[in-house]
Amino acid sequence: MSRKAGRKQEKRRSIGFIGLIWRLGLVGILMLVAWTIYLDVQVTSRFEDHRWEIPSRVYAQPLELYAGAPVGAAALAQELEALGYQPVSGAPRDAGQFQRQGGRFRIRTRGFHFPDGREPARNLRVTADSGTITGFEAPGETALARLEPRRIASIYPGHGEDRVLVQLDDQPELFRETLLTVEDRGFPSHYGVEPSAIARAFIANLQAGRVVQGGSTLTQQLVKNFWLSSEQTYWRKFNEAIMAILLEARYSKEAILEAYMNEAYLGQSGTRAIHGFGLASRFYFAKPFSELELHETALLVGMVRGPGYYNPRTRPEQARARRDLVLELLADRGLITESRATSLKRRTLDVAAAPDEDTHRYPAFMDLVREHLSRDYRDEDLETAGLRIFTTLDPRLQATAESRASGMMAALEQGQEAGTLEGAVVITGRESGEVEALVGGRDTRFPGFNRAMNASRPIGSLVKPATYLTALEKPARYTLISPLKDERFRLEFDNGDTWSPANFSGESHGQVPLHRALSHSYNQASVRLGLNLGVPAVTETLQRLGMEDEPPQYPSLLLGSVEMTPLEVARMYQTIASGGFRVPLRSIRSVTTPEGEVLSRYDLRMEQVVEPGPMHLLHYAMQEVMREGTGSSVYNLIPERLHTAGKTGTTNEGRDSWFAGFTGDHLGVVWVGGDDYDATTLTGGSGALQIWGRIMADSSTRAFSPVVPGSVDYHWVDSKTGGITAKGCDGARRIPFIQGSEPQEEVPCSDGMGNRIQRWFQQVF
Amino acid sequence: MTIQPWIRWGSMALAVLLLAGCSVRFQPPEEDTGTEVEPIGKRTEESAEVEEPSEDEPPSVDRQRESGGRVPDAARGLLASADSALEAGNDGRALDLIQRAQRIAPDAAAVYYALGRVYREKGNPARAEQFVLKGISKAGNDRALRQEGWSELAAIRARMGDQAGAADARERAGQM
Repeated sequence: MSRKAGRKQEKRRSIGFIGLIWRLGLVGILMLVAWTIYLDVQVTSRFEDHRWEIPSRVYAQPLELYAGAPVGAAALAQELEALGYQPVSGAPRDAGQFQRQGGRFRIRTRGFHFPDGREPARNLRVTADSGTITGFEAPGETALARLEPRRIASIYPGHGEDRVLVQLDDQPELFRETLLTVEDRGFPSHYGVEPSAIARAFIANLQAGRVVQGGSTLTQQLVKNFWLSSEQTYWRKFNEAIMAILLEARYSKEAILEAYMNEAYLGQSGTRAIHGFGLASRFYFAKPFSELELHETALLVGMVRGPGYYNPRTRPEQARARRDLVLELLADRGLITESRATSLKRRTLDVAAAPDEDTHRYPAFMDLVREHLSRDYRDEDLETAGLRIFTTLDPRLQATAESRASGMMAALEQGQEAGTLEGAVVITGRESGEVEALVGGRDTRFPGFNRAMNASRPIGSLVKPATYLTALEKPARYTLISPLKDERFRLEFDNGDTWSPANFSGESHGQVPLHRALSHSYNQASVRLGLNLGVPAVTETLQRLGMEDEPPQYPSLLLGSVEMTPLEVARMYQTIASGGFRVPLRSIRSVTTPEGEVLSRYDLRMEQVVEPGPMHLLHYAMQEVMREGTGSSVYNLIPERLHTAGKTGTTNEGRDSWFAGFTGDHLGVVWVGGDDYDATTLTGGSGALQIWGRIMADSSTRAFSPVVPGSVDYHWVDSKTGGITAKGCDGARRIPFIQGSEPQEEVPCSDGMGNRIQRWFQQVF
Repeated sequence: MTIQPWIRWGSMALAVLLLAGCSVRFQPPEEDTGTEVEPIGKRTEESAEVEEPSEDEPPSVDRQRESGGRVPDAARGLLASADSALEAGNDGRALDLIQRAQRIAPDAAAVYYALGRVYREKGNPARAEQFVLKGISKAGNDRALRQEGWSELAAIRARMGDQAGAADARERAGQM
């Protein structure tokens, strides 16, 4: 081999080497370009889409304020507190503040975008006594106003991300300045990365032999949260830098800042991650982002560096030191005066006592909401589309029902093994069918077995109104005074079995008028009546009232052997409570998009299934239950003027204690019993009714006072003979009859001197 | 002239005492005397066995609840706004406003008639019929309200093709 040839070869080799380098470099550049394009697609797709996975928000019904509203001063104060309104001593200056002097309130409301339109922020003057709003003043001609509804739950996706979106306009005072001072002073001018900061961090990391310092801009932090893991590697830092530059190249500083405000990770609550300043404001201070005071802003911004380490609930000292440092930085930069910094540093952390934790507050009611939603919505949409779900829950009534049910169950099981007695409560609007409260068991926060929806139990005497209604719908055969025999009898079935129902007391009462047989819940008279009418006829009435399944056709149906859940009972009694109109139970009023566009509405509906006349007669007998019959002990709990109607139910050996009844405001169904069907000493009256009465005493102001239908006339009837007699006679009772069914015979007054004198006076005056 | 008031007030006081000892508290519904219906009330229904006296209550509270005609100011404003919304073709808003009124005044016939009107306008006479029936059930002995209800019902039924039902409703409206 010649030298020349050798040189040539060398040259070729070196050209080959350079070529290789060149080619490798080219490939590298191409790969980098491709990678950058890939990252760019990543950045734009997520950012343009601008769709975070937002859980759906579930709201309670709002509190309506107007003259005459059944809202006492204490309830109003409680609602304002629950909504995070700040009490102030002078006139309220900002939205979300109120002043209270005894029963007089001045409220500056926040306003809210309801499905039916925007409720503006207003200055209200409200006067309330113990149970009613007596004075209401609002600007203009407005006669009523709504507070914003309480948020009662969120429907999260499985990975538990949560967020309350905020916009740049929502920023509280000096928020932007504080954030940039602490996290990224160069933000207004850099291109996504700050080489000087990176160099500083690089040297520090080199010295430490691992990544100990980040030189991250806000943009980089956003990129990291958005697209990358929190793993600290150079490869990740490299990607982060490229994506940050891409983001800055494509989007405005404002858009990036807004995204950051919603993305920043600020804590953890169980499986729920607290993302963004909107949710963090709620979570730590129980108020909207826009209402943060500067010392609160300083704390939240300070927490970005280490939400766990600076958690004000678990590490208040660290949190406070961090907050104070932030305030000092603001003063150093001249954003606030030294004296303001000093006075703000004296403030406590002002963290809300309990986190605004709404996942398990109303598990039983939320079961119902989810069941209703599942008819129209997919889980995925509920978890990620940020829907707003407006429900019918009345949080004040719910709180009453919970505390009364839990408290009374403990009292009722005296002498029994503690904790064995369980119960459930359903409260609805009497004429609206809106489910206002739902208690699924004693432990009201426990999202377990929901007895209101799932405990199917024999309903006992709750079935009887259907029997009596069936009779009263035949005015030619039955009136409220028709005599019924309450005597022992025995039924023999084809298979040789026999059945001989007895009264609860064990006694028989001979011949009794129909209204008394119901009000005293006489079993023998009721079964005889039911058998005369026929079990199928009673079944038909039950189904008309709202029973969905067809019960087994046995005579024992007439004593309530059929099993129903408290919610199913409520559905049936709703028809009675609303005067013979079947009104579907609803837990949701409407569903909207995050922007407020209505997606679904669940309007009031009704269908007449019972004529007003017979229903009025049944109401009369069910009012008698409460005044003279098995429910009369309720008047130890509720005021005399509060007319009510209802029915008690007890099953064998007190295994189930039921009450279903209504005031002018609410229908309530209460069940008490043991999950394992243990015997108790309770009756419907001594158990469930005691809870019902206490709930209504706290929450009901309107009496149940039905309108007399045109087809019904009242007559004075002599209790002994059943003939028409005069008002004021001994034993005379005013009883409604469907026109034409009133007794024909008239009887003279069988009374004493006192009544005669009284009647004489009535004639005189 | 100076003694007569004494006798008058004294005998009235005696009457009041006697009445207080007796079980009669509420007057029966008086037919054809006005727009309000008396409550069924407890005491009128009771037999003489029940002796427990009760506090007198202001009867006006019950009368308000009985009236089919009375709509509180707050609800009246909502109904007026609902009329405007309906005229503007915004059925959804009209329904929202009336249902708000219904929660405030669940015993007022006018609220249900208003719901009936919305559904009639929306071309859903079957649903409209039910709300008007509900309204009639709340009208009590208020002639004007009953007549309004039956006339409305006649129109709705005629639209549904239910001629017999319409004739019946017209007849009832005419009887008022």
